[in-house]
Amino acid sequence: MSTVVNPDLNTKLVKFGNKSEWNECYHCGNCTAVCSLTEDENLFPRKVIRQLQMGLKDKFNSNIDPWLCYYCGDCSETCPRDANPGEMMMSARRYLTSVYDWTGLSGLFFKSVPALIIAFILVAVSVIGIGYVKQFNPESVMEFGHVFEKMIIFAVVLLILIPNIFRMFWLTILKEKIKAPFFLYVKGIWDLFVHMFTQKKSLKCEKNTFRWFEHFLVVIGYILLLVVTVFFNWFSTENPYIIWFGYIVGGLVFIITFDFILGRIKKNKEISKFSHPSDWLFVIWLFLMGFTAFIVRILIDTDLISNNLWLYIVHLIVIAQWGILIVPFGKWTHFLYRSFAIYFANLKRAGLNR
Amino acid sequence: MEEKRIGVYVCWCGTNIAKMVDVEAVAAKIAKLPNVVIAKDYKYMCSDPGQEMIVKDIKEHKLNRVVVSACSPRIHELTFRKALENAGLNQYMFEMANIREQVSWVHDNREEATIKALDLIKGAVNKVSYNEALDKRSVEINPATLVIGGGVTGLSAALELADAGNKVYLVEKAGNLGGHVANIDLTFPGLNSAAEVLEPLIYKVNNHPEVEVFLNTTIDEVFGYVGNFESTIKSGGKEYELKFGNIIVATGLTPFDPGKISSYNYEKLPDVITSLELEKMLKEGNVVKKDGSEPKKIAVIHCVGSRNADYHEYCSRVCCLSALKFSNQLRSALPEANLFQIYADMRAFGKGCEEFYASTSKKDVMFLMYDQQCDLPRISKAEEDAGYEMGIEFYEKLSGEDIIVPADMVVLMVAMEAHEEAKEVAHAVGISLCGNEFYIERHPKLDPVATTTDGVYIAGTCQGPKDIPDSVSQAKAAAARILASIARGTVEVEVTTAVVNEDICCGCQTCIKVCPYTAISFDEEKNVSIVNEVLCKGCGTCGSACPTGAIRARHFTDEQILSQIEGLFSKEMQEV
Repeated sequence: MSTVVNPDLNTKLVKFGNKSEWNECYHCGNCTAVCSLTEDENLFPRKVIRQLQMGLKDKFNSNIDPWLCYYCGDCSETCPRDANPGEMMMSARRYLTSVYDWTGLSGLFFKSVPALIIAFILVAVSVIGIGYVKQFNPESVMEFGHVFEKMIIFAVVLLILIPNIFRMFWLTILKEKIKAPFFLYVKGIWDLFVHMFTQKKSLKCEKNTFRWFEHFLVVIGYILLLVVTVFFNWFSTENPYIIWFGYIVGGLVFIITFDFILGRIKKNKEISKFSHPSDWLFVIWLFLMGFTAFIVRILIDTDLISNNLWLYIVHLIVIAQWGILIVPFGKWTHFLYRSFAIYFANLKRAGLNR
Repeated sequence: MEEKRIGVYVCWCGTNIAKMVDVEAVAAKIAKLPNVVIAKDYKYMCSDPGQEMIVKDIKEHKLNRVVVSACSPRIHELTFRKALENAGLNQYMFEMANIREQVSWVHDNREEATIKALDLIKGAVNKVSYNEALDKRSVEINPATLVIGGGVTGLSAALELADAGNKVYLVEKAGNLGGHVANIDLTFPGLNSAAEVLEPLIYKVNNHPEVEVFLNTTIDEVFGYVGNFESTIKSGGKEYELKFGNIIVATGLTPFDPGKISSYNYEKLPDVITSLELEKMLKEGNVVKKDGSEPKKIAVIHCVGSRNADYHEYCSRVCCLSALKFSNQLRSALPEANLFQIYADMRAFGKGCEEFYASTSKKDVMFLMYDQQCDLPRISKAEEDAGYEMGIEFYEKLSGEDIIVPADMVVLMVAMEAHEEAKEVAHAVGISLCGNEFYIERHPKLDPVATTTDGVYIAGTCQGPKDIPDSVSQAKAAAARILASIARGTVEVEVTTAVVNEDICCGCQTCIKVCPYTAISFDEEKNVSIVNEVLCKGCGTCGSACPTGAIRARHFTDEQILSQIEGLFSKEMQEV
């Protein structure tokens, strides 16, 4: 059955990226030849670009390949037509995030900066409103904040992330009628978590060693910061070990993310040449989270928090915006989709080879 | 009779000949033949030292005949003839034995190859013994030129010649000048107006005192030879006797008829049009479907009739860039339309053309590749509610998918064919066609505008598909060749022609029937045949057909040929 080509997909994807130079690709295949991650079963970036240019929407929506790319930028540097395949893969990931998201908010926030700003303001106003309701009493505000964090995590995971991962599974595996043996579903889980916390696959890109190390520290720092604030109640604990541990991981997060932000400002690497609003938001909010948490704890330790509650409110606004907007609908999702993509790709490989 | 003193030179041609022929042994054996004064072998006879060696030997050893056994005479006969002239010897006292193309390149047994080389040289030595000194003839050149075809090529050539002060007769079959370029809106890659190219040419030609234009006129027959052609033409009810020294054939092309490719449904589906029809719409500034509405999706199919063994195997060279040009024009005319390019290979060669391809790919055009090894795209009417008129179905090579391209209008980039009347013109002026019906040039690389008929040149698309700059280049090249011959005033013609011994000729006229160059006429008074030495190419057909032996082909006389055969088959030296 022949597929009708459709120029609209291309137009659609343009809104998810900063550049639409992929139209200039004439399929020499240099990008795929130079890529250290592409495999026979997962040929990218060329094949992805082709599906996009031709508007093969079903195939494109079911394609896992964009998640298997760790964007070293070799492809864009090698491209004879400056079609920027690396940035195309990045745009494809944003687009796919919106495809997996059942709420449709992801797509809205990726495409529309005004919508994003309104959402951020709404969240900020709500947090201030709650502070007002709590009469800006430090103890009750912080107590609420702690409960609030847990509530967000629970709700986002249950209502957004799990359904969206299942949608990804449906699009890439079930809809494609891929039948993998059951034991692979079980066996792959270990790999899934290894990749989720180490991103070791990105080490295959030659230029990525230092970036991988920074990224690895941020991921670990972020998770530990989450654990230490949410589960060990960093802001209220008296345990000196936990306090010091919190300082270390909080510092780790904001120092490294500061370097990420600098990189995006300097644009000295292929990967940091183009920044979508979602990229800026992600690194800046990650930085703010670490930084404000660090400052808040310093204020607590120096007993200055009662007079500077606004700083805690700011921290809470950052956390709320992060947890309600960036985690479920923004760039944070790549943490999940990348690792699940490796899991699904294994299933697909096995299914195709059967 | 003077003593025959023959010098024989055996060329190694580097290792080309030496690897398969024992050149030293050959030279040593040939040296023992009667009348051979010296026989030498040398690495490269065609080199300056090689030629100087011949000159020196002629003077030192008083040679009066020379044989060089080397490559094909097509390549170096003239080189060595010059050497003979430099040494004061008549250039016809020379023979070549081809021991490269006919021996070393085609055999793999060194011993047998060497014997064959010896035989060929023996033949040449025998023949050269009977060679006679002949003098070159020269004829005067009429400075007027006949240009056939009033397209951009013919116009450019005519102006080049006329501007140098020479008379030009420009004959055009149609009722107006300009040819196919007159129907083109913009040219690639600069998107400049074609009229800007053409109008000044037409204006200048029409107002040039030296150019005489004949519209609605064809050339039926041309008589004469280089420097002195003549033809009678009928134009506007009058008859004109034209005399001219040279001819430029610039008859151009015919567009391919896409009706021959059934899957395109040309003329069956209303909005399947040719590139020429789109040019017309663009020129009128009105790109619309047959029902008058604006097309929302336009697909352009490349290589219609080109690069396909079923139609024409050659590439028509301008369609890729024309198609890209269409994308640019359509993008401006219909900013919202979906544009598709369905191509086989994108061939954007030439100055500014790859850049044009790159810039076009930024204009929101979908490029799709079809595979000419598979079925050609099939255009069919779409279903009522599809949202588009036609679907173009084919296997897309770069994605490996079977796809349908939606379209409201399909443009077929039709191939360039040789002109439909190319054969008639070829017959009239005495030139030949190659396999695909374009005119054949004298040498594809070194003499691309000359033909095998002296004084007749070809330029533009009648020689093969090409764009405007290439056509104009050829026009000017042909004009330059003619201007050179006009400047010399005379032209040397070969004297290796046939001569009739009037005493023996019985007047049977067999020779007239067999002559492929219409070089023989009949003298009713004397009842004998007469050879026009300028038209005669010395092919020898008449000589072999003559029942009384009255015709003698100079340089290929019976005794020369028979002695050569004798040399070839003599049992002498049949071992190495």
